[in-house]
Amino acid sequence: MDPEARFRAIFNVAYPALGRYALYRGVSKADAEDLVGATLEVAWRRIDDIPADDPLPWLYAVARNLLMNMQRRNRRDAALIARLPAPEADPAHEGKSHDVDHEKVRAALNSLSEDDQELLKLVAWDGLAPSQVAVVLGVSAVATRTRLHRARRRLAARLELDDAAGIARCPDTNIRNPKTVEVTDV
Amino acid sequence: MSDASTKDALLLELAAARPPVPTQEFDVATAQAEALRQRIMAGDSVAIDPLIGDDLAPGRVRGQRQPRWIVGSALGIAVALFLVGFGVVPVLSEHGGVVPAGASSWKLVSEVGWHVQPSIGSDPSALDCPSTSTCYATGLSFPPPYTSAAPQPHVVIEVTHNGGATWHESPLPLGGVSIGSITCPLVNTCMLPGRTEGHGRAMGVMFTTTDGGDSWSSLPLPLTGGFIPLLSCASPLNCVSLNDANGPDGLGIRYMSSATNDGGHTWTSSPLPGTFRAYALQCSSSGRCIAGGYRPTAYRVSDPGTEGGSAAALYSSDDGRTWSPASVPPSGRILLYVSCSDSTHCVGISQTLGGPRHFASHLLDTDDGGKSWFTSSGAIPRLNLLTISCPSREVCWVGGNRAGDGGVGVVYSTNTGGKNWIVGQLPKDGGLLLGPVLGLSCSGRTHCLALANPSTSSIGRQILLSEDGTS
Repeated sequence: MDPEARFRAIFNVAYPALGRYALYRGVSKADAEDLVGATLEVAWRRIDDIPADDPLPWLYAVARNLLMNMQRRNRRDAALIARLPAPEADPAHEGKSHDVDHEKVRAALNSLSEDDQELLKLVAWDGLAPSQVAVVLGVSAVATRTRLHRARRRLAARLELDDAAGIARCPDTNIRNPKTVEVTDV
Repeated sequence: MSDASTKDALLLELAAARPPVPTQEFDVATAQAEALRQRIMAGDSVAIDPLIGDDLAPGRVRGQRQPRWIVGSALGIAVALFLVGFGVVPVLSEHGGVVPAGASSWKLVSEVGWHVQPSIGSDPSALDCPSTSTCYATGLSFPPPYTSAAPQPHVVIEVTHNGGATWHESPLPLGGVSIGSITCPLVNTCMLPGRTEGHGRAMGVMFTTTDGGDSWSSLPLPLTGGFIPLLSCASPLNCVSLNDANGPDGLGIRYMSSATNDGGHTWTSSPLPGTFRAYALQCSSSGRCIAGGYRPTAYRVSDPGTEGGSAAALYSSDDGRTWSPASVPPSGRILLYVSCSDSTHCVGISQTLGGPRHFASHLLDTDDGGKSWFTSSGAIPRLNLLTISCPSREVCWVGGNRAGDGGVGVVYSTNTGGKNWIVGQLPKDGGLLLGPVLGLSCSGRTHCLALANPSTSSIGRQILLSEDGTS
């Protein structure tokens, strides 16, 4: 397949997948567009390097690196952005009930290490198999399975401890405060 | 339930807790997707610096043959750089034309253990040199180790009286204060806006030094909102401050102007016109003041990067007591930095906010004291400009980093009032390209100091550069 046809095929698969990848990680729509564009630009330049059988994990790895760079830049620009007012509560949404169970799970996830979070998100949110996650994270498949096993156990332990301790929520955000529960490695 | 099924149930629960994302987003059938694909395949960089983007790909195979166009491009760039280095070829074009080479050349002066803040305020730079020997830098000091695990940084004012060779910290009389940009009507007389939290409420404070930073006094500064006020002092007695306040209905934001003619002992306040939000302020001794910023479509707009509004400016002819809207071309969302060479001529950086692709900067000029602004005639590449210093109508310097997420520092200068812009040749630090240039203060065509990050990953240390006069 010539490079252009191959890129078109990759683009059609990767564009929505990378968009979801970015949005699931909480970036804005504008940043998600940039991330997708930048990732696919790298893909076009490196079309010969992309695994023919399974391009998505390779692309997720690029997106992940770009996202980390973007987050570093955003921290640098924090002083700039901090001058903008925080979004005010939308009266149309005030009073609506929150999905407490989902918040509870997300709060537990957020309390894990960044490595654990990314591992679990790649599996549960992006639908990757452990062997694909291994490509994204640049580790062996065996190591990925081991880390996934441990991360799942830590998440389960966190949820159980949270249930036992009761839900301590931040007053403003209705999000569980991760500092309220300490969990040792299991 | 078996252990395995428990794990599966857990992952299912986690999958169900995935944040809600509109399913129609990133539909490959949209015109937006098609435009992106065409731009990429046409070789048009869409967001990321290409030299850095390649390093982000996984599993690079050593010795693998690169596509011929990449090899050709690299060879072409190398030849071009070689020729530029010898002044053989033009380096930047104006309206697609060419200008003679003559890039400004910079050298490393020192490494400093503090970090200027990306300032927004009356001074367009976090570095202010009211003379060739005296400079003030406002920023943060990061105790070692210089990693993300470092203790909380604290505010510092650093002063040099020997052109940057040595710096000393200038202690403020109050602790726990956040500061804005410094404004220096005289070489040894400077003012600094601050905000401090005490007794459960925030207070504004204006610090003043009259001895070149050896000591500071403080007076209350009007504060009605959540941000550090902007401050510009045309003389030791005449200062103007802009600060945010609640909108007319108690929601959103509007800005207030406060003026003093007795060095900050008394202030007169009035609201700025409409929804204008101030990001830059410059006042001159003629009584003329210019405010650059953003005019949202409503007081409650929270994100200039994605919501309605456009770059805007106001001007005052009576030391900031009354303000009128200026005419500003619709380029960019925020007139973020302004540098004035005299009471009528100023250059501003208009910028959009959002992702890397949206950090495009445009230069705007005014020749009538800020009443009307025009897009600068000379073209510069797509950059994220963070600082500007215009010592005269003809000479202007801008600094920042290349567009995209590369963060590679750049400096451009003009000696022709913005008709032609010339790229500065920045040195490397330990073989690495410098990061963004955050501070720039220039007193002429060849006398400039700049503060740059040593690399995109640096924390708490910066590199001081000087233009070496060989341009």
